[in-house]
Order: sequence, then C-alpha cells, then structure tokens
Amino acid sequence: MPYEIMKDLIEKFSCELVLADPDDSQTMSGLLPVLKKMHGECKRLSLQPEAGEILRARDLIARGIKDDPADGADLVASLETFIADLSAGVEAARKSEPAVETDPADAPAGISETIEAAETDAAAPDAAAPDTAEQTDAPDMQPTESDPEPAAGPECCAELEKKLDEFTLLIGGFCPGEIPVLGDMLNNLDGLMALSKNIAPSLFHDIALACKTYVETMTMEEISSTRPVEEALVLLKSILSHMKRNEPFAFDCSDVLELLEIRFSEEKTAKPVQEESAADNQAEPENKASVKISGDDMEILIDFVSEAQENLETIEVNLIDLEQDPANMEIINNIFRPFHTIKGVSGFLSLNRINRLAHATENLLDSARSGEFIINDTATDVILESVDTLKQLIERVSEGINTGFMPRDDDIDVDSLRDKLQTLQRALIRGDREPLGEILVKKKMVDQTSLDQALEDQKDHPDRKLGEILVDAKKVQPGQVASALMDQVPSRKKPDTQVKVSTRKLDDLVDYAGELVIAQSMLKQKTMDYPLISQNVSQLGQIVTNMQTIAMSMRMISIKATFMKMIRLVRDLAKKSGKEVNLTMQGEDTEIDRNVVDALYEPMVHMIRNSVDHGIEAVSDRLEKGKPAQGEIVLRAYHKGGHIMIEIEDDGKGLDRDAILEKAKHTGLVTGKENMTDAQVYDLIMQPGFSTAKQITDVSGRGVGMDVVKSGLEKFRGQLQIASKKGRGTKFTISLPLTLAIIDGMLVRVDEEKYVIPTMAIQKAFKPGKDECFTVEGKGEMVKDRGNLIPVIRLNNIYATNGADKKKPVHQGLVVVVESKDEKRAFLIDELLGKDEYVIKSLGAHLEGVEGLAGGAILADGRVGLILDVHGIFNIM
Amino acid sequence: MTETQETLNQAVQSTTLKTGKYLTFTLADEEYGIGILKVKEIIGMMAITSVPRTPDFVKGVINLRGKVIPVIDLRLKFGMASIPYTDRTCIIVVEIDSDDMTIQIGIVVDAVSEVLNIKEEEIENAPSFGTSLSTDYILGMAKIDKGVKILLDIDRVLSAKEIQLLGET
Repeated sequence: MPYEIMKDLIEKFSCELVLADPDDSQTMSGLLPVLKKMHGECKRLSLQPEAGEILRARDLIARGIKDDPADGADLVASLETFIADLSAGVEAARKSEPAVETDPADAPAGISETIEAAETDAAAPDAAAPDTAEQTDAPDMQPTESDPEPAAGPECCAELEKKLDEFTLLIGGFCPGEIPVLGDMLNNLDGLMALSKNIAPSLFHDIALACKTYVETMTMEEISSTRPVEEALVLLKSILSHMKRNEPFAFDCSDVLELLEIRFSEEKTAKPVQEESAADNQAEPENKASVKISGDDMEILIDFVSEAQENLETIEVNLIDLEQDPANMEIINNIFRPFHTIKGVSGFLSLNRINRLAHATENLLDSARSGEFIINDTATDVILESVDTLKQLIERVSEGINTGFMPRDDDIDVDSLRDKLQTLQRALIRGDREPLGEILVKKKMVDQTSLDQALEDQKDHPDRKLGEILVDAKKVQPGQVASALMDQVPSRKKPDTQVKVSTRKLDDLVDYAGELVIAQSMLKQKTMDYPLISQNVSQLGQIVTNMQTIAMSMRMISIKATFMKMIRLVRDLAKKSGKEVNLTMQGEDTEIDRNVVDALYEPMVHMIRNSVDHGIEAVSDRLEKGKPAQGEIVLRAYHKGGHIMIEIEDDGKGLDRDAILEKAKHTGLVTGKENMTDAQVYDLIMQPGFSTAKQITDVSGRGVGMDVVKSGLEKFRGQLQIASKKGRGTKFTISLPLTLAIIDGMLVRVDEEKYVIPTMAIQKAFKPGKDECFTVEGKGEMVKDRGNLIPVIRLNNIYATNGADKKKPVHQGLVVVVESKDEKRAFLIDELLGKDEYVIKSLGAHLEGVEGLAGGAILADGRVGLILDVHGIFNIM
Repeated sequence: MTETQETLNQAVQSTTLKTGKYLTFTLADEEYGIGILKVKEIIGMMAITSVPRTPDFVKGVINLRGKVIPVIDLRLKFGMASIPYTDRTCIIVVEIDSDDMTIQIGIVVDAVSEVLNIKEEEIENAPSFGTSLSTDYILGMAKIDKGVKILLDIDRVLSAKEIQLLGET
C-alpha cells in the first residue's frame, strides 16, 4: 500500500528531526533526502497540497542551513508542526481513499490547502473530481483506462496550470547541482505529461516530454542552464491559455523544441552513456533526431526555401559581375541585400546554421559596402563557398519540407567557413600586406638564405623589425628597405569607371564605324590624284581604322565568367559521381566577343561533363594507376590567329582507340580495314549516336554527346579537335572565331551579282579543263578533281540571276570546291574578286528564313553582298 | 481581363491611329497614306541587291548607313504592273512592329506627295469587296477635296507572316 510507504517516511522524518541538531547544518541537510522521498511519494499519490507543504519545509531547511538562523529551535519546531500536519493529512487522505467523493472538511487545518481528493483509482465518473486524469506512471499502480472525458476540460486545465506554477517555482529556486530539485522537476513533468496525455494536439505532451528529457540530462550531467526549460515553460503556459479559451495553438514552437534538443544532443555526443538513460526514460528517439515541422511553419519554410534559392542565384550572378567591377557599390549592394534577407528570415525560422553563415557573409559584405576594402578574388571565392554551403543547408530544409521533419544538418560545416569569413574580413580591413622579406627577395636585394637567417634572428628578438636586422647584418641598404616598405603598402589601383551601354547602341556604333571605313575608302579612291588631299585622307583612314578597332573591342568580354560557371559544374558533377576533381583555369582573362561566349557555354558544359564522368577515373582506380587521387581538369583560353582557342584537358583515362574502333565497326561507321590515324579515330566519337560509355549515368552517356558539341560549334563556325593518350588523359581544343560578327569570306562574281562564300568552307578553286567536266544523263554536271568526281552547282541557276538562262559550259567558268558536313560540291562562278573580312548583318526578320543565305555584308562599294550558306545550298539541290 | 484589355487597346489604337498626320504617296493613279509616325525617312532610289528565292515584290536589300534592310515594291505587293524606276521613285523607310521588335523596311513607291492632316470624320471605313480583294490592311478611306486617299495599316501590309505566306505560294 502506497500510504504505508508514506507513513514510514513520515516516521523516519520525525525520528531524524528529533535527532537533528538545529545548529549543525550537516544533520539538517540529512533531512533533505527524506523530504525528497516524501515529496516523490506525495506526488505519486497525487497529494498536491502535501507536496507543496513538503517543498515549503524543504525551503525552510535550506534557508536554515544557508543563513544559519539565530533561532535554530524555531526551525525545528516549525518542522515538527509540519510533520504532524503532514501525517494527519496523509492519514485523512488514506481514509478517504475508498470514498467516491472527497470531503474537503477532512483536511487538517495546518495544511494550507484543502486536500483534494487524493486517489486516482477511484475512477470516479464524477467530473468534479479534479484529478481523474492525473495518473502517474508508478510501477505498482494500475494504469488508468483512458479517460473518456474531453481531454482538455476546465478541470484538467486548472490542474495543468497548477503544475506549471509549481514548476515555475521549482525552476526559479533552482541552483546548479541541486539534484533534489531536479527530481521534483521530473515528478512535476511526469504529472504534466500524464495530464496532457489525452489532450488532442500532442504538442503539450511533446514539449513536456522534451523538457523531461532535458531535465533528465541535467540530472545526469552538470548542465546548469535552465533556459531551454524556462522557454518551454513559457510556451506551455501559452498553450494552456489557448486551451482554456478553446483556441487552437498556432504559433511556432520549433525553436524551443530545438533548444531543448540541441542542448540534449550536444550533451549526448559528449557522453554516450546518457543515451541509455534517455532511452530508459521512454523519450522517443525519433523525437530527438528531428523536430517535427508544424503546419504553419511549413508554409513559411516553403516560402523561405524558394526565396532563398532565388536569392542565391542572384548572388552568384552578381558576384561574377562584381569580379569585373569590384568597386561597384551597386553590385555589392545587390549581393548584400539577398544575404540580409536570408539572414533575417532564417533567424526568424530558427535555422541557426543558415542564419549564422548568412550573418558572417553579410558582415563581410557590409564592410565592403562601407568602403573599407575592395572585394578581391579571395573574397569572391569565400563568398561563393558560403553560397554553396547555404545552398546545401537550404537543400536540407527543403528535404525537411518533404519529409515533414527538420533534418539534422550538423554534418555541414558552417563554423570553419564562418571563421574563414571573419579572418578574411579582418585581413582585408588591415589591408593584406606582402611580407617585407618576400618583397626584398623578389627584388633580388637579398637572397633567400640571408632572409631565413634574419627571420631566425627575429625569433630571438621579437621586438626588432626585420628591416633593422637585415640592415644591421649589412645585407641590404636602408634605402632598399625603405623602397620595399613603400611597395608593401598595396597600391590600390582605382578601377576604371565603367558605363553600362545597351548592346544595341554598341552594334550601331560598330555599324557606323564600318560605314565610315567604307566612306573613307571611297573618298580615298577619288582623291588619289590629288596628293595634298590624299595625305589628309590617309590620316583620316588611320583614325577611322583605330575607331573601328575600339568599337569592335567594346563587344569583347573576358571569358572568366564562363569559366567560373564551369567551376561550379565540376564541383557538382564530381560530387554526384563521387570523384575528386580539381579545375584549374588558365588565360581566363582572354577576351572574346560576347556572342561567342554564349556559343561556347553549351559545348563546354558537355565536354566538362564528359571529362568528369568518363575521363576522370574513380578515386580507387586512380590510386591503382599511381595517379593522384584528385583528378585534374585544366581549362585554357588563348588567342591564335584570329581565333579563340579553348582547351579542356583532363588527366583521366583517355580515349580508348580500340574501343572506339570496335564500336565504330559495330555500328558500321568503318569497316575496320582502313588505316586510320589517331585523330581520325577520335573524330569518330563525334558521330551521331556514338558513345562508348558502358553505363548511362545521370550526367552523361546517353549517346547524344560529341556530335551535339560538334554541330553546336559548327553553327558558330568553330572547330573541335581531340588529342588523347590512353591512360594519360584527353585534350579537347575548341577553336572559334574571335567574333561572330565577322566572317572570313571570298567575294565571287556570278553574272552581275556578287556573293561572299565563307572561306572556311572553301577547299580550292580552279579552272577546270574541258576533259575534267562530265555530265550525267546530259544534265547533272560534274568536275573531276584529283580523281574525285564532284557535282557542280550553278549558282546562277539557284539565284536566278540575269544570266541564268545562258548556259555557259563549265570549263569556261571557275569552280570553287566547297565542303560542308563531309559533302563536297563545286560552285560554278564567273570570277574571284578577292578575300576579305566581312561583317555579317542579318537580312531582317522578313528574310531570315531564306534558304542558302547566311546573311548580308556591306561590300567595299557600299552595296550589300549576300553571304552564302553553303550547306543550305546543298539542301536546295 | 486580358480580353477587355485587348479590346481597349484596339479601341485606343484605332482612334489614335486614324486622326493625325499622314504621308501620302502615289502608286499608279491611286493615292495612299501612311501614318507619319511610322515613317522613318524617305530616300531616293539606290542600288538594291536582289535576294534570291524570295517573292517578286521583295526587291532585295539595301545598305542604309550600315544597316541591311529589305526593300519591298508596293506596286508588286498590291499586284499592279511594275514600271521602270524614275527620278520620282522613292524608298520610304518605315518602322514596323513585328512580333516584339521594331524593324525597318523600305517600300518603293512611284512618288511621294505631301503630309496631310486627316481628321477622324474625314475617314470612312474600308469598303468591303468580298473575297476578291482583301481590305485587311486598309485603315480607312480619307475623302480630301475631290480625291480619296487609301490609308494603309503598314504593320499589316508588311508583316513577316504576310511576306512569308506569299513566299511559300
């Protein structure tokens, strides 16, 4: 019988009390454990007022010990009264146990409050019994059948309120290390949990459970911070007040739960032992691992994720802009703002990691914004890194949205990045200086050995400056040190101010510059005979040419932005395929026409994918072959003869000549008997549908590979070359014209019309002899060129010029042999007028689709010449 | 919503387009007018590079200060007999709205007459000739003095669709 235990305890306490010496704090504190046990028992028996009394007594003793009260006898006397009252109260409660209804009159006067009907098991259908729902988990007690009463009835609320008040008191009076109080707290929480077990939204119960887990941790370990519990208490109270008003509780409480969890998880990782104890205490493991996302949170989170992702995109774009123009406040602001937004919203949503990282990055940007320093490449890289990490974190959140639970993200390292940001910020504000010694060595004023020696000396005399030591050692002249010191202060070169100009205006400028050149050349021809004017005209010509060059260069941008995108791509791809890949860039400042940049992007993406997916081997394979674990991809850009060359080189497994040939034989591309050069074999992979990849992956290997790259490049008059060594790596070289606006062309005359044939397509031009011309069925004409028969196309037929009806024999004209997509044709023309560069102009939307025409060009005489689309002409025939 | 907006736009357009200044020109014996805001410039006849594989009425392209613009012979476009170009023959460069951009097109006319102020009340709706003659691209007929000027909706006359459509047939 539970009351027996209580009685025993009371007796024990009385004995102890008699023996206790009020002046000896030792004996007095000996009373406390007994009190605690009594309190626990009271709790179990749901003797609320008694429990309260016990607490008060305990406080009394505690105060007695601490303050060493003058009147120790008083204390003992009051304790005696207390125990007497208590025993009476318990007795009354015991008596009333079988009774269906409690009689308040039974309560002894000494106990401040009426004893409320003690026993739970009365299972009274009477709703007036205030604590029917109160059921502790004491092992020797019968668990109650679930209460049919509405879970959050007013009585229940009142009871909960009382418990919460008590709990508040307990927390308020809690001093670190007071285990008994913690025990009380646990009891109280048990009560709360029992009470709230049947309350419909399990929130209250969940929080109480989390609190309990936390307090248990506190008991086991010396955690003194009660803040999480206090927070939870406030939350519980507000839930309760909502309950009372029958309102749904609709506020975000994940932060409090997280707080409880975090403290717990930190402790847990530190002391694995605790896990068991936690498990014992029936805390659901799930609950610890992830916090459930409440419905309202969900909506905000979804908004946050989409907004943040968008924000990060803008940041990336702007960062690339910033690289071009690091002092542009506008751009810094554009980067700062989204970070600020992310910081703000994540803080509100208690996404701590995102918040902290965004905050650190924001700080860095803020200093840059206030002009303390200029964002350099290192800073850009770190910001990009932070963008990446944020992306990962946000990805987690969005996973969480899908599963409904907030996933853990502690595996994502935020703090080191944060430190990095902070260090960088400090370094930038100081103005990063090159060490003096290095400058001196670089200037060959001092050699490395004497510098090292001086540095050693400096270690012994830390107060001396390096310059002093070197001068004293007669290694350098004081003047040299002074000049080196001058160099040390970074010369902050003011970046050129830049203006944004619409491309349309630029194009117009280029157009007019071109016109000017034409007008000038016409003027030159007319003034040739007048030496005085002619001199001025050629001077004008010089200026005009310069102007045209500048106009053209305005369209040029550095290829860096495109390369930067590749860095991201490589990182993502490497992660996906589980390989380690490092990307190095060379010549990223090479400038190319902005249109070409667009043309380059897709082929590059394709080839980088190929390199990472098929080229670079898996780490284990690499190590086996004696290569470094990390694969290397080099992006190189340079100018070569009016073309921009882009090289993509990897140190992967290279192309397998035999595998390619095998596959080609299989698909009927080659017979296998040809004597093919390596380059020819490698070119096979650019055939449509050719893929040697044994496995289709997410990244590449679907058979639409290199042929797409090739045709994509050809569209922009580019070429692709492959060099490879099996086991050593592959190198792709893209060559593209510097600008898409200019074409190298051969001007030809056909009857009275002039046309431009792109030089790239032309193989040769010759005047065929009579015996080299053949006809098929009297119509199809062909010419023989070194044994090959080539069909002749009469351009005047296709273009219906004025002389089209006169059918001149082929051998009277010239033929130009052109090739496109491995097809050869001979164009019959009347005259070759010369080779030149032509600015391609669109014929306008109305004439865009005309077959066989690539566009128009302004000829030297100011007329418009048509540029032939060689392949288009093949199609016409 | 979009529907009402569209009708509203049309209404606004028709009222604003109809009253205003018109550049008038002649084709054979007929007088035509184009809204002055559409006209970019008037240039004399110049060398036209003919573009193969285009409809008859597309005379070709010219170099207008570094820009290549197509030129259309309005006589041929309207199915009239072509005449040799004279001193009076002009190319009117108009700016038309095509899809979402404006493009310049030259139109060859017999002669440019004058710029006229034409009021709404002087304009009559385009007559209907049944299927024999499409009047889609006629804004209206302006009765000035004794004569009648045919006001053209040049955007429609020269729409890319129109030209390509004819190019296919």
